[in-house]
Amino acid sequence: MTIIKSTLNTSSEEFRQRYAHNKKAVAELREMQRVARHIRPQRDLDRLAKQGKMLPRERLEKLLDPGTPFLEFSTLAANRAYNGESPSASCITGIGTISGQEVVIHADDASVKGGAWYPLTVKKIVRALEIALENHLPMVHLCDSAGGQLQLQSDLFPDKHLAGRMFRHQAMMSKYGIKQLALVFGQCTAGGAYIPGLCDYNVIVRGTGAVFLGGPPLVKAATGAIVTSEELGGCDMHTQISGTCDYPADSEDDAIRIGRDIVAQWEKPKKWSIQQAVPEAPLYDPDELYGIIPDDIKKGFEMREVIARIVDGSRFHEYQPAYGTTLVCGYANIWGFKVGILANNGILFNDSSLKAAHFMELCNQNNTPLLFLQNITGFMIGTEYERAGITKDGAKMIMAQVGSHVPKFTVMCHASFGAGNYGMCGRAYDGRFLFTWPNHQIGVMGGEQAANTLAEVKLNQLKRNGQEVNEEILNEVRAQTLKAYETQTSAYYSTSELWDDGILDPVDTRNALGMAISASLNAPLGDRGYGVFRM
Amino acid sequence: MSYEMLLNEQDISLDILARRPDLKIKSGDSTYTVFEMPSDGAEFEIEVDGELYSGYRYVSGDEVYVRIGTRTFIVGLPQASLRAHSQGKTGDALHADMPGTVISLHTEVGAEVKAGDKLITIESMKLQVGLVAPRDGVVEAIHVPAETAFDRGALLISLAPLAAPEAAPAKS
Repeated sequence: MTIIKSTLNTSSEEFRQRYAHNKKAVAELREMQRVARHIRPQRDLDRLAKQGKMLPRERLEKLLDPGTPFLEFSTLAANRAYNGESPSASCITGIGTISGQEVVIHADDASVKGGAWYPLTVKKIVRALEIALENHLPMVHLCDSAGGQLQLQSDLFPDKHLAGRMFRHQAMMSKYGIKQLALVFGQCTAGGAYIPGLCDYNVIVRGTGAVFLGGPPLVKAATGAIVTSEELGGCDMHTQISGTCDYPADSEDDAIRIGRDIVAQWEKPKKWSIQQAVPEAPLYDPDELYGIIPDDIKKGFEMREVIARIVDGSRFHEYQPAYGTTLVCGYANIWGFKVGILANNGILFNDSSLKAAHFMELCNQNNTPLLFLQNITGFMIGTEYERAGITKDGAKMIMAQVGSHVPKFTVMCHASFGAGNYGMCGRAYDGRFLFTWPNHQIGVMGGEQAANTLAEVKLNQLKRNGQEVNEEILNEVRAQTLKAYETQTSAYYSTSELWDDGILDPVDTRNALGMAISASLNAPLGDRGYGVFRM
Repeated sequence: MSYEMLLNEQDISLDILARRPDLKIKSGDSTYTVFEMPSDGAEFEIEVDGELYSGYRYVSGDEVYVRIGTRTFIVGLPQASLRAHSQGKTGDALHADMPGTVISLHTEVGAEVKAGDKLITIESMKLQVGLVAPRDGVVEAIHVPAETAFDRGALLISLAPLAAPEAAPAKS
C-alpha cells in the first residue's frame, strides 16, 4: 500500500479559517455533551441521593472494566425535542467492556423525570438492542425507569418499531444465543417489567428494585388493595417466591459485583477472522482534519486528505484511481482491520456509480467490510446523464450495497443529499454503525435547491390560475423553505431524531470506527448474493 | 533521463548523467559518482565520491531494503497511476468535467500562475469545486466569466503555450 501524499497547505488562510471554525464547532459539541450527560436539576439529584441511588454514570463507571473505553451512542438524542426536557433521551447506550467481554449497555436515567421513557427514549433503546442483535453482542440493562410517558403513549407504544420492539428484540437475542443481563436498581413497571423478565439473567437490589406489571397506585385503583412496592414486586418476593428475578443484592454495589461475575461466566464469542495487520497511527496528524472540513456545506474538499488522517500509516491502496474520479475507492486498515473505503470526491456520475458497484462486489468477494465516507450532493442530473442511464447505474450501486454480506459503516462527513445518501449507505441501509460530524447536513435536497424548486412550483401555480406573479409571495415561499431546511438538515436535528449513532469529534473517528469494526466481527457474515443488476 | 523512485516511502527523482566509466547521479542540486564493487551475495561494497561504504541488501516483493552503516533504507517504485492523479492533468487548458456555473475567478488574463494554484471555482449540483492550474504558466484567456453557466466539456481557462525549447544543435 502507498502512503497518501498530502498536498494540504497548513499555513494557508483557508486552512486557518476552517481550523478555527471547526475547533469552535467541536467545543460547542463537547459543551452540549457535557450538559446532556451531567447537568440535572438539584431536586432530582437530591431525590436520588435520599433513595440511596447512584447516578447512572456512576453505576457505569463501576460496572465497566477500569481503563477500558466506552463508545457512547447518541449522547445528544432528543436535544431538539420535548423543549430539551429529556437530555440524551433520558438514557445511556453504548459499547463497553465488562469482565473482558464487549457488551452493549442500556442504562435508564432516573435523574430525568424518574427515568420515564419518551418516544425518543424508546427509539434509542430499540436501536441499542438492534446493535446487540445485529452484531451478536451480549447486552446489560441497568433498569431504573418509571415506565412510558403516559401523555405521549401514542408515539411510543403501538407501532412496529416502538416499545414492543424492545421485547421482540430481547426474545430474538435469546433465541440466537446472545446473552442478556438486567440489573434492577429501581422500578420496572408495566412494559418495563419485561426487560428483566426477558433477560437470561437478572439481579435485583433489595429496597429500591421493583418489578411489577401494575404498581401500588394502580393496584389500589383497580382492586382497592393496599400493598407496598416491596411486597408487590420487591427483591425478596421475586427471588424467593415468583422466580422472576435470579439474584438478590444488598446494595447497588453488590448488584454490580454480582453482574460483573455473571458476565465473567459467559463464553467469549468467536469473532470471524478478518484480514488484520499490526495497528499503526496515521502518518498525518488527525488534528489537521479541522483545517480540511469546510465551513460551508457547498464547498467540496479532497477526501484523500481525510482518509490520510483516519487510516493506519496513512496507507491507501487506491482502486481505479483514474476512472470515475468523483468517488475514491480503495483498501486501507483501521486499527489493523482491513476495510474497503468509498469516499465522495464530488457528484456521483455514471462512471463513479459503476465503479462503486464493482468495488463493493470486490470487497464482498474478499470478505472486507465497507466504510462509506459521505460528502454527497447527489447523482448528476440532466438530459445527457439520464440518456446515459444515471438512474440505472445508481440502481446498480444500491443493489450492490444492499446485497453486501460484509458489515458496513458510514460516517457522514459533510453533505448527504438526495439519492446519494441511499447509494452511500444512509441510515435506511442497515449499516452496523453510522456516525456524523458536526458540520454535516442531510436532506432530500439542499435548502436553496428546495426553496427554488418550491418557488418555481408556486410561480407555475400563479400563472395557471391567471394570477399576477408577485415576487413577494415567491420570496416568502423561499424564505419559509430555507428556514425549515436550516433547522431540519443540521447534524444536531439528525442526532436528536436518532438518524445516527452519535456526532463525533472528527479526530475521534478512527477510534470510534476501530471499536465499531471490532464489535461487528462477533456476528457471522450475512448471506452472499445480489438481486438483479439492471444492465 | 529522470527516474522516479520511493526512498523510505518519499518520492524522489534522480537523473543519471553518465553510466560509464563511473555512474554519475544527480539528485536535487547534488551530483554523486558511484561505483559498486562486484559481489554475488547480499553483502556489497559501494564507493560514493571516493568514500567506501559496506552494505547489506534484501529484496522483498516490490521493495528493496538496503542497510548501509547503521541506517536502513527502503527503496521502491511509486505507483505511476497514483502519481499521475496527484499531479493532476497536464496541458494548456482547463475544461469542465460537468455542466455548471462559474462562481468566482481567482486569476486574470496575463497573470503568472504556478501548478496547483486555484484558478476558478465552479458549482454543479450545489457542490463547489476549485479547479487548479495544470502547470506553471501565464493565463492566456478566461472563456467563461463569473456567474455564467457552461456545458460539460466547455473550455474555461487556457494558459499561454510554453515557449518551444531551443532546437538542439545539428550534429556535424
